[in-house]
Amino acid sequence: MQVTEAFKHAFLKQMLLGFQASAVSTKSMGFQERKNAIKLSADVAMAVARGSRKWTRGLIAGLSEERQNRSFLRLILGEQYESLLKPCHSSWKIPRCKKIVRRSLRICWRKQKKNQSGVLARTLVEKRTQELKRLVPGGKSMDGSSLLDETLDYVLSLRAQVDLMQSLLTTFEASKLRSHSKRRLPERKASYVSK
Amino acid sequence: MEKERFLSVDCKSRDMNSGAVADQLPRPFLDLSWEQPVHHGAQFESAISSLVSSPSSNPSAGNGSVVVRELIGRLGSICDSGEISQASCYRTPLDSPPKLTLPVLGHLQQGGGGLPMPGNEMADGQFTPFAANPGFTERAARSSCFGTWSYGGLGDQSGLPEAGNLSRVPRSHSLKSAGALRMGVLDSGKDASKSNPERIEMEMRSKLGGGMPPSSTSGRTMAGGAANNVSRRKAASKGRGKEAPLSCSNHLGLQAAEDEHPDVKRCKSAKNNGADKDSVVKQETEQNIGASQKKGKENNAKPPEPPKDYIHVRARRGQATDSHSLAERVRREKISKRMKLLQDLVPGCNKITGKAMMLDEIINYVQSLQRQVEFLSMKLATMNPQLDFDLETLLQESMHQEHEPLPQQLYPLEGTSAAFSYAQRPQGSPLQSAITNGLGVGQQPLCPFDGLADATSQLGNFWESDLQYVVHMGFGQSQGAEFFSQSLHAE
Repeated sequence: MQVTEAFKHAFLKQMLLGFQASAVSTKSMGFQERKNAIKLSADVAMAVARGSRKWTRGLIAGLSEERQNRSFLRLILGEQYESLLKPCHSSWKIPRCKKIVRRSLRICWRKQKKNQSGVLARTLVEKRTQELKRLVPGGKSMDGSSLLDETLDYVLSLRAQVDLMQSLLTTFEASKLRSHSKRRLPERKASYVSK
Repeated sequence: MEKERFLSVDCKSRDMNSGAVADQLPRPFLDLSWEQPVHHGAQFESAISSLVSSPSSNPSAGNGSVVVRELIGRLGSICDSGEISQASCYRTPLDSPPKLTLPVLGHLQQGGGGLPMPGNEMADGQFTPFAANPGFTERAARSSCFGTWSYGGLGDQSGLPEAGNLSRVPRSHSLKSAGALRMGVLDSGKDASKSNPERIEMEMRSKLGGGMPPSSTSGRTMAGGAANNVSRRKAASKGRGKEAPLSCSNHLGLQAAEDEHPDVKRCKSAKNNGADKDSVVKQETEQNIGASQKKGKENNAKPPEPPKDYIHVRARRGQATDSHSLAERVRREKISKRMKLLQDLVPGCNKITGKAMMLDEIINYVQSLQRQVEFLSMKLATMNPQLDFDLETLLQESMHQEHEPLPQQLYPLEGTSAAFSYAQRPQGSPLQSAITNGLGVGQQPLCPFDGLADATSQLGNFWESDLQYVVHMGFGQSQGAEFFSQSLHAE
């Protein structure tokens, strides 16, 4: 996946729409609430802009597990929301044929009897794979190679998200600064009084 | 008499080791740390062995051969620990050798008029802790694999060949250790000590870069046509986890291509015979993918396989040809390919080899990115009340803005003048223009961001420039310092 301009645009657009939908700027909410709303709309925007991938579906499924997000999700996603929720990824296991599994287990067991030197490396890698599965949304139902694929994608989108939010922040800072200075320059005393 | 013997041994050691070696002896002893390259250790060991050989005739130490075996084991541990310390993992093997330096130092520094008795006693005193060293037996057993070592070589006369042997051992150590240790471990049976496989794993990993190709080739020559060794090597190579393909696939790619050929005919016939048992669709598809890769690798003209429904995967030389291992190999190569892609993506992962460490880095990176998102959303929340603007017009402006070439002087931004220059651009509301310009600036370093190859450098540049921007903007504000520290924290 490449981080294209189209992706960034769609991302930003979705994010701003989300801000508007959750009315973070107008409604009076606590700090935590506002932060969660912003994060929620940012994540949803990322998932929507990326399209249909395993991690996006897992992300939305994870977000919809909390009740408070569901109304927002329904609002943003519309009819897609219901169709996305149907396969519940958190409890989905990769289907495996018993005969094949048994045969491969037998072979693996026989190999294990011969050499013990790889056990440590394997357990280390296993542990880290489990950790990565926890981090990447929807990772529990992925196997090793697709997990890495999704991680790649997810990292790219996360990066784009961070960049976008950072640039958004800086523009807001710039505008705030300008408005401050504008107010200050013509009427200094009046601004002090108003503050 | 013992004094004389000790003196004579000392003189002999000085004579037997060549002058150059003897000159170097005091210096490496003084500054010998176990992180130094092993060739220092080589001369060190030759000195040790010649010195310690004197108490070998000491009846209080017990059986001469036992003592000698202990010495060999200890020296083997020195060899290993010299390598391991570079991998910097387990300290237990390193505990024993440093104790050894003291008596030797004491002895050598005092030269000819040395105190043989305390030297002797100290050397003796060292034996018991070494003998009690856990895992000493398999070290001794392993050292027996270092075929050039002979017990007779520790006698008085054969100092030179012994020095030669020992100096040769560390050099060939990197070549043989991966192979010999593997063989040694497998040969010496199922030693239950945990330190051994761990150490070997660490050694493997630390030597993966340089040691792999020679060890694999030597492994191959050693294996020859022996089925036992072939299966063992395969087991060992499997058992080493998925590290092998990561570094091996590069090194062995070419070798595999040429090694495939003498092997291919064997495999083909085997495969043709075993083709009927491949009825699993999943394995076949994997083999399809893998075999197409293999076919691309082959250089010499082989009689081309008539294309069938399922493509044969060529097994490499010396590897098993059953479907499971082939499929496993295909799977492993897929994973290693993706790991390489991820390596390009995550900054600072070029030197890291090994699946576990790469995964570590990836996990850290993902966690840091997620934390950054949290942090940025928090910051956006603090200044959110100012988010009152016209969304549609803003977005339209941003769409138009993208195609306009941004003035280059905006890129390295200097203080609040940038903000003012934004405001002076004649486009609708100042807020909209500020946002679009901010987006433009934010996007501009991202434009050459596509492409994973230079992603790391781009990211580095972007963060640098962004931080500069942020800093300059921050200085213009009242909360400038605080903002700066926060941005640093975000980095």
